[in-house]
Amino acid sequence: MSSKRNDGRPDEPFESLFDGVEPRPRPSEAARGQAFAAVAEEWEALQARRRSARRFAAVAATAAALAGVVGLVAVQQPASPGFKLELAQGHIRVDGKDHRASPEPVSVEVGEDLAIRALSPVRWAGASGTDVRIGTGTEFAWRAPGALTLDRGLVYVATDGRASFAVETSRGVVTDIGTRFLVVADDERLEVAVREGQVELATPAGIKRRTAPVAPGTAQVLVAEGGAVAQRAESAGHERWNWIHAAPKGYMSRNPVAMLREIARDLGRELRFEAGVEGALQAEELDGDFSSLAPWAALGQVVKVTATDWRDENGVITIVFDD
Amino acid sequence: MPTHRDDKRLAKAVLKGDGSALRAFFDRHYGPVYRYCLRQVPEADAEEIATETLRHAIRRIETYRGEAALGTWINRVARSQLSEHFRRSNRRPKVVSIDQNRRLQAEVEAMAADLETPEEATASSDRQALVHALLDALPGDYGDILEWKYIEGLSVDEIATRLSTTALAIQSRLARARQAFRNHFADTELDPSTMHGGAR
Repeated sequence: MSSKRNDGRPDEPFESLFDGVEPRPRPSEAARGQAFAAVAEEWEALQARRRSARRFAAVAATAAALAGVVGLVAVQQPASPGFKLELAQGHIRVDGKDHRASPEPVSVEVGEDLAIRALSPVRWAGASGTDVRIGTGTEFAWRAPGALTLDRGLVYVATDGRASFAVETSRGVVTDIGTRFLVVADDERLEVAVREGQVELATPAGIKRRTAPVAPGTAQVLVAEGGAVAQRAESAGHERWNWIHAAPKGYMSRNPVAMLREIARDLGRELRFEAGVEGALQAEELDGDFSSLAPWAALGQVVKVTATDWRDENGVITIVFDD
Repeated sequence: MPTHRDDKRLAKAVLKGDGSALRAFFDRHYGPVYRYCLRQVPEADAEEIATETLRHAIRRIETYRGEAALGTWINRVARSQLSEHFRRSNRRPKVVSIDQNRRLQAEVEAMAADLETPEEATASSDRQALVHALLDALPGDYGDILEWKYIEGLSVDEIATRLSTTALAIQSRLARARQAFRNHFADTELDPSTMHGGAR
């Protein structure tokens, strides 16, 4: 085989570049395992420090607010108006000022006194590592990096157990227990739908209700209305999730299997592979930018570039070889 | 092909608590950092310093701004770790005194007999270091595929089996890998001791 070169050096067969070259030395598997454990430990410590810093910031903000209430105004420095969060996607209005995450994310000052209106589907990053999305028209405010006050509209939260998150409404406070959940609220009614894990709802009347464990392909729904709380199960494919499925997710993985698992979770589906497909995909690496794709679009792109196909039946997405 | 923007996204995902991003970060950089250290210290020390390098990199990941490739940024951490290692151990970078070792001396003499000139021996060593550094700088598994094909002599079918994919897919990736290697090779000023993980 011969090859053309464009570097100004004399042409030579590509193979000859490797003449006399030995394979690269590699660390042992044992060393790799120990190294990863050490790096993961460092990473866990980093995450703990970040969580602690966020909690401290929230406590400091609350203390500053309380100091204002009781009239302790001797301190000349004004209280912080809020904190900053990264708007990853979408268009919002904060106290009359517009912010757009297009084409790049923007840092936005938020706080419990800063009323926000979502003018398009919105995704936040940096909220305790939690995926927080807001439906168009939703009115809300960030009380802390891990808590928001929902006046009316739609909020979707996926903590995946990384951090706790709370959504406060006039009909009650929803606190996650390592979960993915959706809150729909207005002045009269609160609905919480849970597709993974559990949430706890505490109402102003003192009722506390925890959702039942979620069976595959289903969601648990709590409805707080007229002073009562009811619970029921429904299909995980209910149309209430459609706006989440259509919103860009910010996919990062380069491994097709990892990407497909993330997509399936975002769609509330179980993921299965036809025989041999998972092994073949594990060896592939995805090229290109998937970060701006919504789950369904990302699924279509992954199967396209990996020459596979998919079926969606009874809450299960099955990846098959493309005929 | 990964860009600094991809590196920045990866770093950000690691910072924000994405476990799969941490795994990708480790898989992409541990081997190259290990080999970078191995050029200057013995194997056991290289493993330890490579681990410490990635630990430091994680601790400081918030300071990575994406101005350089993540591999280049990690290399700076590695250089600092190596300097610290040499300072602590009161040692210099790896120098093998062949005069003190009869067996090594005999091997070197035998190797020298196969080479026409001392310059040729130096060029061969430089070339190997350069090729290794370039393979480490390639994205994804391009470096592995080129190594298996052109250094270990595996067939396309054998590589496909090793990666659980088709020969056709490997042919395609080989073409992309060759192009990436050529691009890196053409751009490189020969200084492999300063490289790993995509300096551009």
